[in-house]
Amino acid sequence: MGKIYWIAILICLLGFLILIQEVYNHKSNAKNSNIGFCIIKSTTNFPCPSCGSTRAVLLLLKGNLIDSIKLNPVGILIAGFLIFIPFVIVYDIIFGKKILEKIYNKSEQVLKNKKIFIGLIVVIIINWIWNIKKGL
Amino acid sequence: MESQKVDMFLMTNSKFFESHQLMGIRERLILVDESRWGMLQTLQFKDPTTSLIVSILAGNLGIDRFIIGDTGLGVGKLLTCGGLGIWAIIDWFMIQGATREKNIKKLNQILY
Repeated sequence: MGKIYWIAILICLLGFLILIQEVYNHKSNAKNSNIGFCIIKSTTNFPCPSCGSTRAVLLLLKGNLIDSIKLNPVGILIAGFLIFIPFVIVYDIIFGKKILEKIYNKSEQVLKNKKIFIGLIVVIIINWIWNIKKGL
Repeated sequence: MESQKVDMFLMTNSKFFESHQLMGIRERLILVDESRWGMLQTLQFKDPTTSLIVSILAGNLGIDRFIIGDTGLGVGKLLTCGGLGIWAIIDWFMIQGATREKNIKKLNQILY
């Protein structure tokens, strides 16, 4: 198994752990808990481009799509990945194929295109500025 | 290639590769034709120390991965806030090795 698989498994596990912990926290007390794993936010007090995505995913779980997009559109992306990637990994392990690696290589080739890459970075920076304005 | 030239190349560029790869590189370089020397001299390698500094300062934004050319992983790191903070910390220890791996890939493209 390639390096990509280990990273994907690590990220998915961490994502699910944090989601479960947040859902549990939400049930036990209504206080808005903030575990603060984000180094940028805890050191500079500015939100990073993906701050609020946990809360956005939690809102998605409640079926609150519009509020989730308003909080942070990255949340939808992350939720999509958390649903999609584990299936791909399990499929690859069972059938011995390399679909995840192919997807990764393909996306890297697309990103080698300077125009697409710069466009993506600009979108992320705009989202970041929006995050700072919202004061997440 | 002359062993003197090879040793000179290794002396100036040894920090860009893993130590266990150096002997292999030396053997391969001696076998390689003299005409590759010019191309070898123009190769630009990424410095592992630079990527470590970038990783410590801006690892959460995935900039270290962008620098060494792992664009896909960089975007992944950027969008997940440095892999929920954990991947960023793991990369403080992994990024130098990853940089050296990229360097040896670049060198192999010319040698083989």
